[in-house]
Parts: sequence; C-alpha cells; structure tokens
Amino acid sequence: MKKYMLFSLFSLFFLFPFAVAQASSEATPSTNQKQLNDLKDRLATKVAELRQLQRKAISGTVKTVSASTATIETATKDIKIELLDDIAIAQVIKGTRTKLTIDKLEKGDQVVVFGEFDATLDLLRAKAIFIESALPQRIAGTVVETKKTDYTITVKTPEGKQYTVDIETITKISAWTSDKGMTKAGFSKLTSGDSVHVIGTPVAKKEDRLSALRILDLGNLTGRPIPTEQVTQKSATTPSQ
Amino acid sequence: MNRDALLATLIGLGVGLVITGLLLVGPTLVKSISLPKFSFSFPSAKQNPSTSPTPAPTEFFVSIDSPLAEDIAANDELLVSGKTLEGTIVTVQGPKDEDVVTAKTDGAYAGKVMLIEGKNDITVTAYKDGKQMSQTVTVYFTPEEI
Repeated sequence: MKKYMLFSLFSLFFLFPFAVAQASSEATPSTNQKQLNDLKDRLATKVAELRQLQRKAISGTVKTVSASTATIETATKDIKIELLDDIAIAQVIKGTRTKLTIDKLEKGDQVVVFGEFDATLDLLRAKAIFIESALPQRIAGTVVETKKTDYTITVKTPEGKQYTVDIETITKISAWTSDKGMTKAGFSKLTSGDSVHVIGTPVAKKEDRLSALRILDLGNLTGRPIPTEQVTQKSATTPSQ
Repeated sequence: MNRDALLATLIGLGVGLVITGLLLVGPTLVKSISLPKFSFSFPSAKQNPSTSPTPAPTEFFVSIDSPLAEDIAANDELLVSGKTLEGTIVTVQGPKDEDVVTAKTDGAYAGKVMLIEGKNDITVTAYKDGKQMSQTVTVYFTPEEI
C-alpha cells in the first residue's frame, strides 16, 4: 500500500509540472499562429481582389457595339468591354478634343479603351474611350540623296528600304550636335550621310513616300561616306571656271 | 506523511521539473549551437569574388527599363530610361517630340518626351561606332480619371 502510494505521488509530481509547462507553451504560439493565419488570409484576399480588377488599356478596332457592351479586336484577341453609364468618350476633331456620346462609337473605329480588367470574367469595364485618328508613320535611317529643286530627301533604313520624304512648309527640322545640343535647322542642313528620324504622314497613292511633320538630324553618326551618286550631282552643279 | 513519502515526493518533483525543462528549452539550445564548418578545398581566386570585378558589357545593346510595356502614364510628360554602352548617343522619340541624350559612364540614359492621348509608341535608338539599334515600347495616356 505504501509502495503504491509512493508511486502515485511520484508520478503525480513528475507529470504535474510537465503538464503545466506544456499547456502554457501551447497557449502562446496558438495565439500568434492565429494572428498570423488571419493576416495571411487578409493578404491573400487583397491580392486576389487586385489581380481580379487591374487598371488596363487596350488598343484595337471596334468589332461590334451595343448600348452596354462592345467588342474590340486587338492584335492578339477580341476583348469584350462593358460600357458604363459614366463612360467618357473623346476624339480630336479638327485639332480640338471633343467629348462624344456612346452612340457615336461605330464599328471600325480605331480606339484606345481605358478601364478595369476583370480577369475572372475576362471583361474590361471601360471608363474612358479615345477614338484615334490615323497615327503618323516614323522612319529612321540615313539620308542618301537630297533634291533642292523638289525639296525632298531620300532616306534608307537599316533594313534597306528607301523612302522619299517631302519637306513641307510646316515641317519642323531639328539638328543635334554633341556641343550645341538640339537646335532649329533648315532644309539646307540635311546632308547625305546624315542619320535622321522622320515622322510624317503617308502620301496618298504614292508608295514609300512621306510628307514630313518633323525631322531630327543627328549628323553623320554611322561614319558612312557620302554616296557617289550625290558626289556626281554636286560636281555637275559646280560652275566651271 | 512519513519521511520516505516526503522524500519520494521531492525526488519526483525534481526529476519532473528537470525533464520538463529539457523538453521546453532543449530545442532552442540545440539550434543555438553552431558547429564549426570545415572546408577541405584549396583556396583559389574564384572563391574570393571581391577581388574579381564584374566586367562591363562590351557587346552593343540598348534596353528600356522604364516605362513598362502597355503602362498607363500618370501625366503627359514621360521619362524614358534604360541602359546601353557608355558614351552611346541615344534618341528617345515620342509622338510629339524627341530627346537626344548621351549615356553615362555606367551606361544609363534618360530622356523626356511628351505624350498624346491614346496610344504612344516610344522608340529609343542608340548610335555607337557606326552601329545603330532600336527598341520600342507602347504606353497609353488619358487625362480622364480611371
């Protein structure tokens, strides 16, 4: 009996501190773990919400349009857009930004749509639509010929294609040098061998011809010599003595 | 309670406390003990990266770091930045204007262009030693609240 009593007491005092310590250690991490799990859940919910709705812009052609929806054909795929009541539609007409209504949106219009993209529904909730005009064309290359009589230059791109560029009265020509930076320049500044960037509009019914809006002349950066055809023309115009 | 019982109780209490303490503190003590690391490989120049600097790129390249493709710009003035070789002449062309800059010693360049409403194709062209290379990025802008 005594032995059993002693054994019982021994076991009790052996196990009691252990039980108390175990209980207290479980209490602290469980509270922290709960807070951590709660924070993780809130973060995951927020990330999912942000992924679901993200600000996005798309560019394409109006394929179909109705009172509340439209389909835009982009370079990669067709995107369905939801036309909200407070949507802003604008277009530059005769140089002035003009606000329009949804009924002015037509099939075939080249547009940029701004809104929130819902990845779950694969739908863009449009907040603003801008109807684009024809964008100017840009070429970069080397001047291979200048014609003072026609006020044209011929530009050859690195791909080997040649464009004839018409210099108009409205054409803005800028010249850049390392010492002076960007300065205003005239047609006479353009020389064969110069590296140029041209922004212009295609000339109707004439292939590979642009009417220049802006020209940036960087001078002879490529180090290529002046083409022989230009040298021949120069000697032909030099007056004989 | 007689002396034997009391003694048994005290011994049990002590042993229980010791074992409980080991169970609680033991893992922490084991983690805090860091064993010395022995390396039997011969020392070489490769193991000391601080003495061998990263060589600068020599192959001609140009990259656009900002803006990201298909970004919606916050306002109509856009800062375009990126990397190329040192001393490279870089043109940054936007739909309304262009900027010409020279890359710094670390190859970084930055230029500003004005945007138009809608789609803007920004082209960066680098010129160096008779070579030319271009990169284009599309950015969108609207004055409307989105």
